Amino acid sequence: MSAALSFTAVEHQRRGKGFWATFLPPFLWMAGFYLVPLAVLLSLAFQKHEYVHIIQEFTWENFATALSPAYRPALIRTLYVASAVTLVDMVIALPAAYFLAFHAGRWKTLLTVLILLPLWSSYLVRVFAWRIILGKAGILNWVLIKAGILDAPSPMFVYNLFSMGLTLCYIWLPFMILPLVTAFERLPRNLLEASSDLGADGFATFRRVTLPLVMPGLLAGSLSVFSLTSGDYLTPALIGGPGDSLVGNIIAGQFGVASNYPLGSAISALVLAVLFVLMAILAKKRVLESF
Amino acid sequence: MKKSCLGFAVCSVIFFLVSLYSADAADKTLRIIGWEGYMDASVTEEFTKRTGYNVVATYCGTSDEMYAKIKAGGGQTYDLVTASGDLTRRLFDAGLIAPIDLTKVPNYKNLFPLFQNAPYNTFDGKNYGVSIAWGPDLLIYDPEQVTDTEASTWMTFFDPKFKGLVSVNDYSIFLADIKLWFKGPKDLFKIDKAELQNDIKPKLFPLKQQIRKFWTSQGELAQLFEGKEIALAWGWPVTLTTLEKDGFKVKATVPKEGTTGWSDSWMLIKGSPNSAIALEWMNYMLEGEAQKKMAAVSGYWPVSKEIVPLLNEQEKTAYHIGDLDAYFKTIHFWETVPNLDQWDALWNEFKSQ
Amino acid sequence: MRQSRTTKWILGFYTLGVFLFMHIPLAVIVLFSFSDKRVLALPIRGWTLDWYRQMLEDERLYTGLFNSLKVASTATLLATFLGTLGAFAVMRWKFFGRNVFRSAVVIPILLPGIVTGVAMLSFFGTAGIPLGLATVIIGHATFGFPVVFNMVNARLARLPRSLEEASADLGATPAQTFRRVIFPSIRSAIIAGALLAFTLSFDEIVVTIFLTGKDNTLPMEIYSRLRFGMTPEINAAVTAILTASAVLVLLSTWFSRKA
Repeated sequence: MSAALSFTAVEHQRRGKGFWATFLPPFLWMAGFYLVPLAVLLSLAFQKHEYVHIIQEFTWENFATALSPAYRPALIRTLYVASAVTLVDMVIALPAAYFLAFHAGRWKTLLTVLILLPLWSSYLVRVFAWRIILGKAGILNWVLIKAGILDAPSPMFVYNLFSMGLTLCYIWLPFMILPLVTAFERLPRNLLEASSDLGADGFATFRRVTLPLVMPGLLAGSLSVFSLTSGDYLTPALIGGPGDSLVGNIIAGQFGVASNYPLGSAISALVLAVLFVLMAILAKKRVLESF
Repeated sequence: MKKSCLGFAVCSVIFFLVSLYSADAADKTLRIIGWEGYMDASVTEEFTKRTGYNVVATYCGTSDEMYAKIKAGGGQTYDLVTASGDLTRRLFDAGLIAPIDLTKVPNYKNLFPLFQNAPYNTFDGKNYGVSIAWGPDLLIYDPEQVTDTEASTWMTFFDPKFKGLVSVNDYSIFLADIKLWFKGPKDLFKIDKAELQNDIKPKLFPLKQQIRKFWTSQGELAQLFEGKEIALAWGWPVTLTTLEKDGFKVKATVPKEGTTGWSDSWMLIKGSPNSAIALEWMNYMLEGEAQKKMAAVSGYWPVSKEIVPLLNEQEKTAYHIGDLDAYFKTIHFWETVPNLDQWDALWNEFKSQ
Repeated sequence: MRQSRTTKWILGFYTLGVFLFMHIPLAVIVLFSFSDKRVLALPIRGWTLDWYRQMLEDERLYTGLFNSLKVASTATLLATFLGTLGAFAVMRWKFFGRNVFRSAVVIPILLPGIVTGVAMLSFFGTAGIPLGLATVIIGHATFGFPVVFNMVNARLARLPRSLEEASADLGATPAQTFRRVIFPSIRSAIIAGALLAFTLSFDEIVVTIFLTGKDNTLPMEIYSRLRFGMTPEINAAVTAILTASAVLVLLSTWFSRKA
């Protein structure tokens, strides 16, 4: 393997066996198992579904259906729920990641492990834990009644937009904190010292020097959280309100329940379009390399 | 920290090698996809003892979910399905099921005549299914919150008193129930796009604010009752037996508007490598003892004559053994919905309004 | 300085709050695994280890765990191999479409898992490939690959070229340079990427739901049980896995400190 790689100072100019040996396997994998499936998905979006058959006949109908009142509310809800979750996670994660990178001292390793810890338990069970906390017979109600704040258990904490948003913020938070911690760690300390030597106060240094430098990490985390939230369908199903479906629920429903692959593909294509626009904007800022 | 990951890498490589070199145990399993209540351990134990085959169940909350899973997995993944009347024809039309050789199911002749060569599992003169059980869609209610009078009509679902205290299955077949409640029992499963928009939609949409949560499994519905999250629901008898077992009191009734219901059949998935053992299972499930255990766990009503000598008078009444033919006619059984995509669109609009 | 100390304290408390938010649900899971009631609600009246005994006797949980380990380790190996190669290709050679390739590689982690899942489902369906653990492994390797790629890519980008040149000047063959100079400096990035890919695969469900056949991974097994409601037995299983992974990580940290 390593013989095929020729590490000399000039290989930027010449490509040989080494190039093909390193480039082809990942390229073929990506093409065969990712790009081709995406192409199949896109082609389905333009075909007709009737009863139990897919009719190979070009049509825009699926996109019209996708944007009809039956499915549009979920698309719009996804946009604002995913944006809100991303913003909230940003606010939660920024100070914590800053503290971890600069002030955690000898606790840093332990704290980093603690951020990863939730990922080693089960995603489903963590979502369910919030049902145990927020339910009518849940822990929060029990505590509030014991404390004399409530007289009877309140149904208002769960099965609504609030419980869904809270759980989504919780579930995807590690994906915001981790790139931020890395970004803060890479900051050149002498730059920050220089800023404060030049008389900038803590906040000015943060705003003018620190924040621009961690921006790629922040945007990378945001893109992850936005994308993970907009694709989640188990959290809305388990803990959201009766109408709080996100676009993920609609797609999962078309493939896993209604068996209407063409419509599900059309909705997926819309999601792809939105995310590609976001990515194109962020790619300019070299965000894609900082995951 | 980064070096510490080495341990993990080593562990995962070891697991990988172990998994590669450990041979898979001989695969003697019968794989069934279907409704909850039919594959309970009390029923499967005896079958495993006789044949050596384990029964592995994949549960679904709707017929549509079963259809999607069978379409994706086929006979490679499942041997049998418990198909309701709205699924049987669809599976046949999609070419996903295989005909059944009734000579291998000798107990078939013991089915009540009503269930032999039934229209919902006999296509082109061939038998594609063997009946399992049947039953109604019930109004289930918590007697601490709902009176018997209130439960005597489906209209209580719309009572402002029960705002946020209702649950129905996340299943578009429910649109047929709306038609039944408001327009009577004619052509419940033939609702075209215009009728969906003009007649069904205005009646259906006010229900939305009454709903606490759409249930997707009977376990979820049971937990909604136990947590006092809801007061009344559209559901199936299996939830009653589950709650009874947990010691939680609920009642159920068929309200005065009448109700929909289902009659389920075992169907053999095309391409299943275990078809012989699957037929043996169908046959076993028609034995009196098996029917009795199944009925006890699920609360669903049996279909085989062999169960009759094993029942006491109370059970006979409960399972409508005496008035079978007459009672069977009062339930509006699920049928294939030809324009399911349109039903599904309205259902989604209802959910996310 | 006074102000910065105040800021530090405020930050510290804020961070504490964040960590509480992240771990209270875990505490709830652990707590109820010892409750002797089946219903998951306070107050807990009695304590028991019965759920752990039940879990240990539960063969289907073992099967799920075993399948998950099989999937996660195979997918991680594939992802590590592909990701490392890809990162080398991008760093070492200029080729037509290099920037497109670099951006395209990360798409699988940027697009929602459900899109990956349904795209692969349609593809395998069209191609007539039966669903099973193999298709799950392909799915997991595809999103694990960019995870490893990014880590290695970032490390390689910061590797000073002078190091290689010096090695070559001193007469090392390319193979020696790779083994002695380059590999040691990217090893931790490869391992970190592999660890993350393993972690993500082990608990993956969104893609798995669409790609799995008759065999269940552990998250799928848990998912199918949630139909009947959450039971303390699942809590016990999750607690056991949590403990095992925490112990493994702490042990390996301890060993690497000693080394």
